[in-house]
Amino acid sequence: MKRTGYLGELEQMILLAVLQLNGEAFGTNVLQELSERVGRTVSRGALYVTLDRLEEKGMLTSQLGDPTPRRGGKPKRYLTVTPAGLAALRRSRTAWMRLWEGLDSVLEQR
Amino acid sequence: MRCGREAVPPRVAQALLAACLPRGMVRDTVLGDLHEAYCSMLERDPSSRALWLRAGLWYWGQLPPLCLRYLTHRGAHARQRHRPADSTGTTTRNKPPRGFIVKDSWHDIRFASRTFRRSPGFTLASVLVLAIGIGAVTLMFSLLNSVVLRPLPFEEPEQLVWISSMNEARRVMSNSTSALDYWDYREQAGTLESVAAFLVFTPQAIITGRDEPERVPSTIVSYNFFSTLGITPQLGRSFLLEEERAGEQNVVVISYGFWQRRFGGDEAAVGTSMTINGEPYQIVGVMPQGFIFNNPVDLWFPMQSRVGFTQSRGNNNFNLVGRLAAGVSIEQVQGQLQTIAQRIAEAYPETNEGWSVRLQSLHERFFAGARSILLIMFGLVSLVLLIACANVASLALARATTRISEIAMRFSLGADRRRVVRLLLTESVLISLLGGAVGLVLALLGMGALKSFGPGTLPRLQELGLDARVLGFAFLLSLATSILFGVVPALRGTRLSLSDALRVGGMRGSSQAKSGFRSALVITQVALSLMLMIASGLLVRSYLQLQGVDPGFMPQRLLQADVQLPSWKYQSNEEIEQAWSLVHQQVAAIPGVVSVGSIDQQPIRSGGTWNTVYPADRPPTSTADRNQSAGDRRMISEGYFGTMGIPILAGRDFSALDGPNSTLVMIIGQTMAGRFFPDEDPLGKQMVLWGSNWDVVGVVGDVREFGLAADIPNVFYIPARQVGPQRLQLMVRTVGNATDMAPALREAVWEVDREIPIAGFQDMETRIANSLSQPRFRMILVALFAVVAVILAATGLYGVLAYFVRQRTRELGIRVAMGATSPSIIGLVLRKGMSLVAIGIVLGLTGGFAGARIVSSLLFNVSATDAVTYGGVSLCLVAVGLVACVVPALRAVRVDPQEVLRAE
Repeated sequence: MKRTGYLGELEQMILLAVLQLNGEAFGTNVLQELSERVGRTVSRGALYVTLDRLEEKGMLTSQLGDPTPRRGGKPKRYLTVTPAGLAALRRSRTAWMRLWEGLDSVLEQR
Repeated sequence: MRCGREAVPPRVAQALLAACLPRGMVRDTVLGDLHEAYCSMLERDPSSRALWLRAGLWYWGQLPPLCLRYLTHRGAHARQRHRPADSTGTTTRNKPPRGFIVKDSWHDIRFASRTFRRSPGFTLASVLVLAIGIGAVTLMFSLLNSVVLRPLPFEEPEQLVWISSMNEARRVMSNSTSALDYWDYREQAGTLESVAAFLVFTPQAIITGRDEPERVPSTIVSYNFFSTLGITPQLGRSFLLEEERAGEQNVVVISYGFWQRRFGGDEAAVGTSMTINGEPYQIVGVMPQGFIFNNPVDLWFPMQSRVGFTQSRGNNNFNLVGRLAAGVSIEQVQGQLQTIAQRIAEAYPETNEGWSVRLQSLHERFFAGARSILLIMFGLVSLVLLIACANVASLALARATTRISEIAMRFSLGADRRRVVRLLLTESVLISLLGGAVGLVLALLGMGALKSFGPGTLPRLQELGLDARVLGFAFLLSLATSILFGVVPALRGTRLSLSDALRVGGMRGSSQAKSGFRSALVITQVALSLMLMIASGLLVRSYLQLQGVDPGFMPQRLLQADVQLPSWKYQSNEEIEQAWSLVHQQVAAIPGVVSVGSIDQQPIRSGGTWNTVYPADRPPTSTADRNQSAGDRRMISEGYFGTMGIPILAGRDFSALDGPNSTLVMIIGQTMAGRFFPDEDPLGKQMVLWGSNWDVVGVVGDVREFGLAADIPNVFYIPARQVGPQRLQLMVRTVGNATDMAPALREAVWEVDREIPIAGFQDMETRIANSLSQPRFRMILVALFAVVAVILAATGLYGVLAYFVRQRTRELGIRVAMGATSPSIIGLVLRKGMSLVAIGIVLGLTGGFAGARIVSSLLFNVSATDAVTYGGVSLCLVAVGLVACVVPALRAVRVDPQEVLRAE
């Protein structure tokens, strides 16, 4: 699987949502954040798999929280974006912005 | 916080999910997230059942996408995770990473479905055979599920108990209880949260007034009957304690169906008055739809309203149902009630001596009988599935031999054996899942058929249907099936050495072993199907025996009708006697009626009225004596015996002269005569009943009162004229078809009085047939299974022999060339086939012999080891086996030696 170093759309969204949640991010509220902010419903399967992938690429790290009875005695996986993740986001943003440059008028016509 | 121990997501879903997820942090945190989300859903309203259901469904809904995602992506992750490790050389392993399994499984599935398309014959046959097996088992399971496993529709039904009176000395294990005893229990039994009573019978109440007169079943209950069951009326209220004791105002609670029918569902009906049995009653409540307890009724009256029913401790007119107090066991309640019963027996030895009390859970009481029968049927059906598995396994083995080169190719390209076994197993799983799906459709069809043709006496049959439990069962069953039929062929099919397999003629050696295994499978099928045939044969014999039982009367062209004189119009014995005389006269005058008679309780029934009765010159002296002095009492009109065709063995029939003011007379049944007067002539003797002396004037033939299979009880008959019953069963012997006479019969009764309701027309042949519906149902079902089993076994046998002939074409060709005759060739094939059948039969007979004890409870007058049955079905199987051998044998004869040798 060759990667160009640019992030996929869902990867990008998830990383941004994790940043928005400011240290409190874990599976369920990332889903909520995505659905509240951009109205995008992502299946849990897609989310978890993407999280794993991002972590493998070194863009995310996770810490385990304390298990609670509410979670059936299972720990919570708190997510943090790593410097590498931030760099990838920046790179993507720059790329998009360059591509969007000068297209405002085209968009306004619609 | 509420969400803790109580709110656990569906365990099965959790376990399945855990199996799909990679071990470690991912699994724990994902499960934790789901658990938390599940809890948050419930927190909106923890008491709502609907929410629990929705949350559960949601949890299950998470399962497929999550599993699918992880199963399809895991391979990629695993590779990535392993790559750096491999490159540094720290964890170099030859074993493929775990993720491969999943990725490969997907390949296996796609590959398997391609193979199915290439060999549709094999696929279709296997799917169909498995569908029959899985369908049959699923059908029986759904029957078991809806009849027995589903809880009763009452609040906390596991706390409900059925309380019956019992008298060990009289060998009465379950009897009803008197109202006075009931009230004692209710007052004194602290271990019961509440205990309720309801009438044993469901008397017909006549409703007049607004619309045309209607007769509906009713019952009489204690004030706390509904609250004990935990069911509240949909409208209005249930009874009050005062209404039970005082009985000043007549009140009634009506059923939902009656409310809809009579009042069009008008809520204003509650509080209005209705004329029942000629008296005004106030409607105080409407029960919810579908509320049925024991028997369907439309009206519930509070106990006190029928004073006669509640007098005397000898009047055992009520059944009791109780609710256990919290934390009390059924044994504790039993103990306490027994103490109370003992106290009552000491205080009232006349009526209560020897009587104690017995408790059963309500579920046990209602379904124990059906459960044991259905479990037996379930066991028999499982044999069909086993046969189906053996059949498909043998098909799969045969196919494995045709795939030897493919498998060898896989090996030579570097696949390891496990990998190939898994590929073959994937095929098995797919086939069994397909079979399960088709089987489910078959089961659904079967359910429809059962609902229309099944015996009406099976409880809750109409609730039969698919639910999550049945679906889950079918799914698991399919998986289990695939293991049963798939593992051995997969292991055997891959046990070959490369050089062997790639050599052209190599298949011969290894196939020898395989055909041995296939023979074993055929033997298994023959043995199992013989066991089923034995069960089926025994049931058929038993049913024939039952059908051959003489009911004691002639049921042909005999019509029964239920006639009830309105109690408010006919009260004195004279009025009642007069009315019945007129009814009989009118009916007898109908053209096409041969004769007519009446009885209060017609034969072929479950339960009836019994009284203490004994010869006047030998009153019972001991308790043992008293316990023996009981007889089933029937009230009849004159002409009843003649109409029924019951022979009068001695003495005379009743006549119109045996009226209310003449000497009390009695006719006794043959069994009762033998019991009380073993060595003397009963005629002219006197019997004591209800404290009076009755002259025995006749002895009549025995009648199967309680059905053809039941023992004949002590029965005695007294003239209806001398008692004055308001309700009788009219028995009419007709010239032509009995049921055709129903309209004329109704008209004739209405000639006497249009307000006399007449209903329940039934010809006695149908009544007897209905009484046999359960044994007939069992017989047909098991016979059906046996037929399917034999067909499967026969095709299995055919397959093995056809294969045998194909394998040995060369040998057969040489034999023919050397001058072997056709009979000797046929003999060769037959010997091979029939030796399998013979071994199967021996094993099957042994198995049948060992298992017959289980079906013996379903048999009537047939021994579970009945030699005729065992011999008959064995011969039958031999015949089927011969037929299965014939085609391969003929093919063997037709082998052309020239062609065979040329091919060499």
